[in-house]
Amino acid sequence: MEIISYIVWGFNALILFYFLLICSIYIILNIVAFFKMIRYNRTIKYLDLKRVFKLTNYKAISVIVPAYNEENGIVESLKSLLQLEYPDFQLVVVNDGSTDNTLQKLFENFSIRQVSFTPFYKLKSQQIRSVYMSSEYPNLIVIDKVNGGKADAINAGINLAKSPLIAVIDADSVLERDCLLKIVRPFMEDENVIAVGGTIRIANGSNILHGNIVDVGLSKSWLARFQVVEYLRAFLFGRNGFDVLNGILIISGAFSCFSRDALIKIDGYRAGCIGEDMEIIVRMHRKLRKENPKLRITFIPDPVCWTEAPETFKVLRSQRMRWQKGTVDSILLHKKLFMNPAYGWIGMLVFPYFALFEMLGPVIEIFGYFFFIISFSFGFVTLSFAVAFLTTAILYGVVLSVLSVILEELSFQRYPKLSQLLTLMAAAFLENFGYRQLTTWWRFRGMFEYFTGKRHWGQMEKKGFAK
Amino acid sequence: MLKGDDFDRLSALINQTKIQPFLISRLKSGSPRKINEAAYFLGLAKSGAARNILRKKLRSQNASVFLSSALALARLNDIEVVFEIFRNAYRFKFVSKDSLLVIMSEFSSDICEVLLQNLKKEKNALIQSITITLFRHFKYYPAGEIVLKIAVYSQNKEVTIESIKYFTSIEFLKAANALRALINSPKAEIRAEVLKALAVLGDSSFEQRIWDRMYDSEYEVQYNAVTTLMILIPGSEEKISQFAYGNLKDRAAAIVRMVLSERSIKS
Repeated sequence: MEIISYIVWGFNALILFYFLLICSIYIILNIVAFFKMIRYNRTIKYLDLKRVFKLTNYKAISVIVPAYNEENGIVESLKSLLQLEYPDFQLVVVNDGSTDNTLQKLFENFSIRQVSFTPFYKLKSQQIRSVYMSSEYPNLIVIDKVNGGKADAINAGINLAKSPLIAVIDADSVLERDCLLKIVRPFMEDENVIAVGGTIRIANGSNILHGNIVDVGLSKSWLARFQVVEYLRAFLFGRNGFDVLNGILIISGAFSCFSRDALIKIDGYRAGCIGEDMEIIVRMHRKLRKENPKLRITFIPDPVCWTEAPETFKVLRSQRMRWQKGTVDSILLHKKLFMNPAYGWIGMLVFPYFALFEMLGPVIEIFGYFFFIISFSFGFVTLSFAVAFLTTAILYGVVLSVLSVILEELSFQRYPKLSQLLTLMAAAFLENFGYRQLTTWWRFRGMFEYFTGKRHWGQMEKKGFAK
Repeated sequence: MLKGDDFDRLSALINQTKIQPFLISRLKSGSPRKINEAAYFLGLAKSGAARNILRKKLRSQNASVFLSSALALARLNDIEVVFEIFRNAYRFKFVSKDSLLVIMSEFSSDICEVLLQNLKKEKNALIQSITITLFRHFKYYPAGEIVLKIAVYSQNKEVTIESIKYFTSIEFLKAANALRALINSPKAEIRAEVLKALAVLGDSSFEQRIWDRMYDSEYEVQYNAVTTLMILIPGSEEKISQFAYGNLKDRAAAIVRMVLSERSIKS
């Protein structure tokens, strides 16, 4: 019995150490992100971006939109994208072998006509059937290809994109009008920048008209509200914090921007990959930054892209399981980076953080809950210790989430009404009772499925934006 | 920037009422927020009475105070402080080229003469680049010769590209010979920019060099070569068409076919 007691105590001590370690990392990230945000806001405050782009030597950008069975939203989405503010951009829509009327809709609405084409680059992709150009919108081209998945479609788009910068967006993303001006700035300021990500926000509950956010709101669903807080925490603190170390390991696939040369050098996206958005960034660190450590993969905290969050448990579960599989896949594919001093901060700190806390986190947490219950049931920990530990853990989670909401309020103030702020505060508090544990469980299951061979994407249903 | 009736009304409202002393008192306060707001409105209304206080604020340790004061002085067209703004900007890590450009472009075109005198001895590539961009912005012709010398010798890509754009904007034909050398630059962005410029500044003597660039390794360069040839050489469209459809396996010809087919849709 004494040996079991030691084992249980030992494991509990390990969990406590793990908990303290992750708390310390989050606190450091919070402080770093806070100062970065202040600095960023000061920088951007005196800039009239439209004027800057009139004056300076900007780079042209190609925006790649992979589309698979998007007949319902593609027309509205493209009309909105064509209104983006940027002096020289090309919109490349890749119809990835849709089985619905996506291509037909493009014919009907954009006066596209077939053009002669030759790929400028040779990234691997499924066969391109035809390329079309719009006579109405000269900056719109449509690529029709055999189905090969998102990564494959993006590669086909890159092969035909004309501009030195490539933005990749989801067909159902809602972009802010000036998002390209903002995301391109880091490339103009520093020629070592090879990739830039921006903040993704949840659009549920907002008023969207013709593909533009006209009034930011909050969904009535608490599930969506929890995700708003989650996104604020992930983007405002997580990515901002890691950015200071040049340690961004993931840029959201909903909206990312790259130097085309960098994409070509690493042979583009990896077809068939589950988490292609993370995998490509890790590969950039591994291949390009090893050759030239000055290269930067960076992040701008501006809310530039809005996306629809799942409002049902079924879809959310599928999404989280897929994300976890993507994380595991990317980390295992590039395990060479783990504690490898040749990769600097990435190898010694950021990658181990992702492996230990993002990949293994759900496993440790689930076992932690399990052992905690066992310890308590068998009297290895006292009631007062159990209550103190749980209260600290939950309070800490609440503080982190509330800080994210406060930082949002101090910086971008996209939720200006007091009622919205109070709702977000409530969500920041409530998400710690059930929601967080549920997502941990789904991530655990995602990992389990990954290792038992179920590595498919799963279904991702979206309601779509009504207007 | 306010102009016309809007400017007159705001200027009268601030300069001829008690708002001006109120804003100046805020400018003298210790709060960066109050200073920034006051500087913004005094600059917009071109309140000369604030000039001396704003000049002192350029030495502020607070970056936002420095930037708002510099912007206000630029709107007041206080050309004497141009180089003080450049010098002080270096104290702050995050005062970018963009911020400086936006501030400098608020001055009137009179700034160009001062910048031209400085450019003759300026070695800093960032200031050279900003200066040339401003010459382009104001379409300032007298700087052509000096910028030409810089463009030929500069090792800085930004400076070279800004120079080429400047030559194009003022149609500085003397730059054509310099472009002859730059068309083979190892930097693709420069080659692409030269080809664009040749559409305005070049002549038929460039024809062979432009044809050579159709076999460039970079798409932008190839694309610009085709479009420049069509603009620059009368009757070249037919020759280009023959090239495009007579060499079906040639990569350069494939790109030309694409450009031609795009052009037919656009037209």
